[in-house]
Amino acid sequence: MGVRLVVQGLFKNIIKTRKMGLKFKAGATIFFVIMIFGLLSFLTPHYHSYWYHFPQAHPPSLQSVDFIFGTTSNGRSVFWSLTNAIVNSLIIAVVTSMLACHIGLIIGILSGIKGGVIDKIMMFLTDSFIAIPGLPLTIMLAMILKPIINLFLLGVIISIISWPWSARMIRAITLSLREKDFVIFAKFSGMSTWKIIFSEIFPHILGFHATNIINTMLGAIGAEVGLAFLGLSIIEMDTLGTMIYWIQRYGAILQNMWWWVVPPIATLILLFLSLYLVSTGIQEFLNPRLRRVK
Amino acid sequence: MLPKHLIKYFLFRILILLATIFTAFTITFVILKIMPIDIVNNIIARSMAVTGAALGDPEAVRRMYEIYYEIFGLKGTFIEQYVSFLNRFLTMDFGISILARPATVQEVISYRLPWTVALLVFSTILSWVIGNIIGAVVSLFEGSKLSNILQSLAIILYPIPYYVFALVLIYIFGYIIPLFSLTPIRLPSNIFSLEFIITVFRAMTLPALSIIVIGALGWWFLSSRAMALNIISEDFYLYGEIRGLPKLHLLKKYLLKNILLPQITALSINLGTIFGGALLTEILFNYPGLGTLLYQAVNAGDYPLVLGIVSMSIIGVAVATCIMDLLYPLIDPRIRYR
Amino acid sequence: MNDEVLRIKNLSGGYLVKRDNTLDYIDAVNDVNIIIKRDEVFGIAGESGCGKSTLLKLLYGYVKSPLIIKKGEVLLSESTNYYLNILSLKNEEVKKKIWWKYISWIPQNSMNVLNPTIRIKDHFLEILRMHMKIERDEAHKLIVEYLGLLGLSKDIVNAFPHQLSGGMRQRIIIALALITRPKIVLADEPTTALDVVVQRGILQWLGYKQRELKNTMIIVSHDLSIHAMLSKRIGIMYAGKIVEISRSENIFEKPLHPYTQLLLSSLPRLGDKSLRIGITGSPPDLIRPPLGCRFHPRCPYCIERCIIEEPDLTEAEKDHFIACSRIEKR
Repeated sequence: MGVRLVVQGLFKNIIKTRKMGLKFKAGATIFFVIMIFGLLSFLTPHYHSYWYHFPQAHPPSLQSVDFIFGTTSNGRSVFWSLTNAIVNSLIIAVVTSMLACHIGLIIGILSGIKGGVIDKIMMFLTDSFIAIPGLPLTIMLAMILKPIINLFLLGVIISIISWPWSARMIRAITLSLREKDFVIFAKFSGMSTWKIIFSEIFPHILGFHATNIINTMLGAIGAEVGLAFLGLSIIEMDTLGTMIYWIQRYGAILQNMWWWVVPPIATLILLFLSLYLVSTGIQEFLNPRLRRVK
Repeated sequence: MLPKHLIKYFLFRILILLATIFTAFTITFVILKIMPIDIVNNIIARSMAVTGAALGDPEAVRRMYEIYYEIFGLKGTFIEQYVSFLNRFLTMDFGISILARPATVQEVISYRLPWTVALLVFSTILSWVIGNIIGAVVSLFEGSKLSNILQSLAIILYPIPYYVFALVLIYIFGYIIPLFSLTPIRLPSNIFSLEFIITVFRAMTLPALSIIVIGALGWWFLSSRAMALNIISEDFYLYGEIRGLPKLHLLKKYLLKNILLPQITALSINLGTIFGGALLTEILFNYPGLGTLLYQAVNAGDYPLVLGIVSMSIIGVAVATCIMDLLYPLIDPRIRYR
Repeated sequence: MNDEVLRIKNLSGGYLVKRDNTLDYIDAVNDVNIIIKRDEVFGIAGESGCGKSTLLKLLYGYVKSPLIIKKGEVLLSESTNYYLNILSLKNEEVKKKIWWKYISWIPQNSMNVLNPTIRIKDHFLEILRMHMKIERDEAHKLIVEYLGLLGLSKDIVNAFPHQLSGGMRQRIIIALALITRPKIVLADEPTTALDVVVQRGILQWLGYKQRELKNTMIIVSHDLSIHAMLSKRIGIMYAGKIVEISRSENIFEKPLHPYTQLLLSSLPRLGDKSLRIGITGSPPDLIRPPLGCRFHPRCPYCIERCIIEEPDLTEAEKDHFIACSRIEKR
């Protein structure tokens, strides 16, 4: 019940954007525009999946929606590719953040609350995962799983390297909360550990958790692009990463096919910027002391 | 002579290093074990496609299967599998590379490693130094136009990975201002010639630039500035001002000294991320380092080489982090003289 | 013989603070006149927020946004009949010519006024090199000698601040302020963060050093017991104005201003078991200070004149100045 109240409170606060800073507003606006763009993908015509349906490397023209951003070297519409790419990249990001952040949340809270041997083992495991350079490991996994790769699986692969950071941070917050008066008071008044976690600790972690989800999404989008550079993303689907992969493959930059190069890169940079702004916006809202430092 | 507590700390830190490498390898082993895909079948098929080996010789195929079963720790009892896997990872003995046969994985990697290390050391140190100094200096002019511009720029650059920014650089320098060639470089054989140095320099400039711009103006600038603003409002800084110390002295001994120490820790924590980003950046610029090698290995289905690079990165990053942690107490006087 | 060291003339200053798009002026120091003499300890007392620390900053010429000077002069007597107005100098000039040559500063001890990453000796070196132009090797010898004279162990020159106790750090800070033998030492709540026993030791040491060096010391503190121990003369400040100045026996034995009387009656005294009375109300908002006498809203003896007229500081008895309309009338 306490949880529901806090969730409601948080949403109420987030909805009250008047109270949020400029950063949050700017970030949310950019993200909203990109989302609208992505939602247009539901109107994708069936012929979009065929190669060479359109003339190759056609510069943008206003003759129809398909040509608004021109076409690629393999005769596909950049516009429809981009709209689909946004949605697919976001799906990967959401899968990753939901998995990684919640695994991190559970492990972080448990090891923070339980302490002792459980804490030591869990943190050793977490630290070892942090010590493994994430990218080579992901590349190895993606390479092995290439025959059966899909959006969900890609999310799982990326979350393997993302969860330890969340776990570490959540544990640190839990440890500091554990020493706070209200938690000690709850313990002395005979509350069970689970009840303390849910009604006393969880609500205070929620703010961090929200920003963490957004940051993990940001990281996941970047990781997907990185995998795609190596041809390890889902090549047959449109994602922001695979769009860049084909750009590289066809040397579009050196042929100055700007209409093909600019949209995915610009979208990526704007997406990174918007998510980052939203997350720092929430952080500053939750912790007003940060505002001074900007 | 080192104080006793330091020796204790060093030994403990090295123990941690061994434990992390060991656990990391174990994790890799477990992950490979639970893969739902028959890796060895995959490799043999790919390998045959690449080398064009005839399927006719069943003896050769059987031997290949055996070798790969051993490399991936699939031979013998569970314990045997584990031990042989660990052994191969630690010694990086992954046999012959499919891509560069008859060279072994070790040979291929040791040829490319200096390039990656050079790029990483050069660009990481430079971006760390530049970013921290700019951050501290700009904090002294808080509220000025320059400070606001740099701050907005940093917010835009901060979340962009190196390799995405590298694309922007390629577009600018490859097409609009064609200063640098993006074709694979060919090294002159004489290492001491001027030509060699120029080639290395040209190969390194753009990848280093993308790492330095993002690292310096994004990451390190933001954190250094935030820290500097905190220090400026601290009592010891104000007291330094009250004593009338020269501005440059305050900047060096009061701001930078107190910023750089925690930033060393931040650097050691982020080494893994920096390393991964740099690998991908290499690919975009055809830089002849481990990253480009990894790209070639992935495309050729050269699993032994990929495993070799993974194990190399695990050991490399863990050792680098450990070295930084070991150096830290020698740099921070507060720990040295506890 | 001229025994003045510092003359504060019609000094007014305060803070410009931006709040909700309006620029507010906090009237922290208003029309202060004090003459400070050679070889004396002058105390400035008052509640927190009465402007005493701001006054000290102005005396030191440490004027940094948002602090501004409205009017007035701080005249430093360099030699007989020659005065130098500190506030007329540029920032860099004050730094080079005045600080630590004529005036030094003992900051409020909040445990971290020393730079945590440099050694104790470096703190001394900085001052000797900046203000005395003494080179490194010679300065190093001087520092060891100097600390020995102060009765501080020589080992601490190589220590880092966190290795020393709070009391030791405060001694170091005082030693820093005295090393160049300045004419005037300003001390801003010098012992607040220390526990009472350590505080007493430090204050006795400070008093002993002052008697030995015969310099002038200006101590700002809300704590009247510190003034009772050290100060020869005391100025009582209320809401940015000096309301009473006199020798400390006068202030403690027969205070004239109602505010001083109330301040003293709220102090516990040995053997007195009567209930202590505090001062009702709270200090006024310095953005909009009350008209007339600034103390009138809280004053138990307030008359009509107090509300209309701002009292001047006048000599009610010999060497006893007070700003109160009721006394003036007497």
